[in-house]
Amino acid sequence: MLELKGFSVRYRTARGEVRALESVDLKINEKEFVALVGESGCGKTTLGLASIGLLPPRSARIASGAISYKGVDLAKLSPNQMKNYRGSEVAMIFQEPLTSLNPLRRIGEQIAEAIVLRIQKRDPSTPTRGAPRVPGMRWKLPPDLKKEVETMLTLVRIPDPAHIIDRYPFELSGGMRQRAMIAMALSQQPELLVADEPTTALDVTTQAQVLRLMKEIKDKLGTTIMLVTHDLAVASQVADRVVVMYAGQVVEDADVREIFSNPKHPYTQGLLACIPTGTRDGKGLTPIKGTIPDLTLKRELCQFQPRCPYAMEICSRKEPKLKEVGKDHRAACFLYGE
Amino acid sequence: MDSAQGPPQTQGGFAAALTGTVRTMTRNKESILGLSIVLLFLITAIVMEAAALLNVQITPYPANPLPNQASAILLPPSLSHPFGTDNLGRDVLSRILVATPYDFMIGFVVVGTAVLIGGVLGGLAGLRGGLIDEFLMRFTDIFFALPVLLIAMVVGAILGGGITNMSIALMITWWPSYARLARGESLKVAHQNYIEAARLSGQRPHRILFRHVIPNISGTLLVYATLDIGTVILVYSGLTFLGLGNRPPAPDWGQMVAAYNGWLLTDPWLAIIPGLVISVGVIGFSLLGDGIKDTLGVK
Amino acid sequence: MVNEPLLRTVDLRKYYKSAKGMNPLAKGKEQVVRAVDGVSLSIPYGKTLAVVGESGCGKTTLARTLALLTPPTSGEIHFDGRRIAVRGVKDDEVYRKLQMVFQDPDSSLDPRMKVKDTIAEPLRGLTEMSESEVRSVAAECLTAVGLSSDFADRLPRQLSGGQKQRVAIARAIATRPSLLILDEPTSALDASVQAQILNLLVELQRKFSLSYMLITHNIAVAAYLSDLMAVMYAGNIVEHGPSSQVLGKPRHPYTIALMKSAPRPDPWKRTLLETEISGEVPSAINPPSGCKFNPRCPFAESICSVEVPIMRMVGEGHSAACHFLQKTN
Repeated sequence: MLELKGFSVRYRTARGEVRALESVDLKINEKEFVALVGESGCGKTTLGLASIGLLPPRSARIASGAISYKGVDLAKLSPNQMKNYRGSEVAMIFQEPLTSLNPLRRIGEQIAEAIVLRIQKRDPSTPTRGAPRVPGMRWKLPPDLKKEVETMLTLVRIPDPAHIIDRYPFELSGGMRQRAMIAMALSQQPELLVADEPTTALDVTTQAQVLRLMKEIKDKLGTTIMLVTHDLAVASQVADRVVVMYAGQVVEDADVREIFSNPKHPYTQGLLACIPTGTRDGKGLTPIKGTIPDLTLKRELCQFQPRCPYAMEICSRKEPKLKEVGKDHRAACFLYGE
Repeated sequence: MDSAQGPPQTQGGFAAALTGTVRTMTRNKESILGLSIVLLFLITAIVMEAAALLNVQITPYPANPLPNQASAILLPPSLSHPFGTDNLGRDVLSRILVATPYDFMIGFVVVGTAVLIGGVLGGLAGLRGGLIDEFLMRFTDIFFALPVLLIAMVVGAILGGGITNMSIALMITWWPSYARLARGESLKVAHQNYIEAARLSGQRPHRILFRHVIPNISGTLLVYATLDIGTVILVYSGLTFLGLGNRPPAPDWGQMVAAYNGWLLTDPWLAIIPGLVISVGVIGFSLLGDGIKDTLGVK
Repeated sequence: MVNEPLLRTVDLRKYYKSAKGMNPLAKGKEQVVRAVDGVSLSIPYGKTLAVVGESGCGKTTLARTLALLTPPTSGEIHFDGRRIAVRGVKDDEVYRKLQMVFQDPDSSLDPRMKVKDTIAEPLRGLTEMSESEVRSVAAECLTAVGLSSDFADRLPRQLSGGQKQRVAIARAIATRPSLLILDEPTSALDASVQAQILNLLVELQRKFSLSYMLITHNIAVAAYLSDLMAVMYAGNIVEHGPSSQVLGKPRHPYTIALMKSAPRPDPWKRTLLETEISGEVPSAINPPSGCKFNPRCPFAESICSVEVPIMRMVGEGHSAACHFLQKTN
């Protein structure tokens, strides 16, 4: 459904060009729940933004490769086509709902806006149905629209939807806002939902509720979900497939159970060893030594090599490519051949 | 992000901050210009003041010549008189040079005092909060309400004009904005964990103020101060224009603009040149301030 | 002194006055935020107590009150055998034995102070050491947290998040305290850096016989570091006991939901998807009557909204505050 081939993105910064993504090969299939896992700076957010065509236009450029949705190269879409693509094919939710929801409009109005957009895309002659021209003025929703909004709110399990419609974002808790955002995202009935760290700012129990909701959406509506997260444990609880990223590259890509029972890439193994489990024993956790590399430099070696406990001579000369290391299991490491 | 990079910020110590920022600023064309202008004025001021103290005339012509020393009147700019002469035959360039220490330094003096007073009071208010904050801010408000011109005129009426008295008048009205600014910055700092850590380290409130709060708000204060010096120069020129500044025959830029106003149509250089000098000085400080602002990343 | 715990609180309360609460549309009357609403806990010498809870449960306020950064509204705090935080009595020497590490490494260090001066600050403020003694102790602390001596002259902006946190820890142990309050020490750090800091904390505890009070919402970290665990909800402790017990056999319905919600790196046991909890953490201004958890509790009955449950023993050193402990057995 979503396919990346040799996809590279670079950002122009004061320090030079930062290679945020480098030759990424990835396929996301329909109805899959994929978790994109990595620490800060690995490029997962850039990948998420690229999927919805939201790369910052002035500083980001696609250095090579392509990202295509159902066979269509996203970079070749006209602004109009992109407008249609965004929202109705792919929708995105972000980490901090306070900054994604308009603080000056009521929840009901924002969801209604998304619903109207959906209707307009199917039938471009539909007017915007009495939405106030002055932002901030109250929009009295016509009853059929109101009913649709309530349906969406019930879908995301917001209690008492009839009252929430009239609330402003600041009146809701973090979990509820996140759910309102999901409702907005789903209003256009997208096939793919990209979620960028949606639960990082939430409490543990709220996080569980939101993640459960996302799993339900996948199961009931057949929506494909791409969850971007730094938390492997979260990925293990909800995802079908896990894609591990490091320094702008995909280093491992496998079924979730495979990743946990049979991690192939040393970075994945390192990440797993870092997770505090159980109570401390005499050994302690084994952290990954070193720090992430400078992404402005040209790459002629494995990015993980300086920190890798299994580094070989070839690792400092060439950059490994993703290859099959098991059934439906790919890793980019010279340990498994050249 | 677990990397050790970040935007350039003020380093430890105020003096170190200055030298560090000067170094970084020389990358920017505008800052270089600003810095050059300010340095030029500063050096001139110091040199002229030294000359005045030592009673040495280093200007090509005396600023206040006796009738027999004067040149021809109303000469346009030429090689021997680069800025021309005025209606009394006095060399305009020399007069401007002699006036430099006053007009230029008043900026520093007034703003410097304002920063000191305002910085400490505002910093204390932001740090302690509560009643102390209320009291200090209401006290500040009283002074905030005093209009500059009015106070200058009152002081002028009571104590007479002249640069010392005008400095006092300006200082009285200038410090409140710095107190407000310092308080705002101090509030931001007061909530930082390192302040709490300082309390846990047994530091008393006044030590926290001077060791932690003041150094961390001085960056913003410095930027504002630099931009402000130009304003003080301008205001003082206005005061002298009104006759409150240095009494003639002592030269003074603003006073010169006022006095030579009448010859604007026939001998324009007389009024325009001192005005230009003031403008260049203000611009220099503005560019310098902007340069510091960009370097420090202060908004 | 052996049987007396290092830190003990008795019905500790901290209330704040809030002008209008969180809702600016509420009628303007002063309301009381009951951040810590009667907490009694104890930390033995040399052990780690983890206080776990979600945002709004009051754990940070609890930490700050125990660190004497803010005076308690009522209740008692006993430290090292002495009662502290008594109105009118100065507690300066307490700080020599009780220190704190904060959550945000970026704001924990004065951006204008060099590392060595930051570490030396408590020595200069709380002890009578000579300048040379201060310098050598500070240098020792620097190496104790795993940083080489060239870090001594660096400024915070030249350090990474993990390094900053290490400096904060070095500062906290400078006066050789007995108790360290750690407020979410690794929440702002990446996974691999977190592992390093956790290892460091374990090592320091062994080396200097420290007690830790760890405040966190991360169950995995709490499980890893602690001997004892206390679960906090809406200003109260709802369950406490040895960590193995509280984790392995939670008895309070909230603890059960919390443990289930905590993501474990185990794709075969997806407990996260089984959580039945709904609703939100209650407001600290207008908490529910009776047991504060009752609106969200799957086992709640009528008595739960009327009577506040008391702590009952459910195992060796393990207690929970619930009317219906038999339901969770």
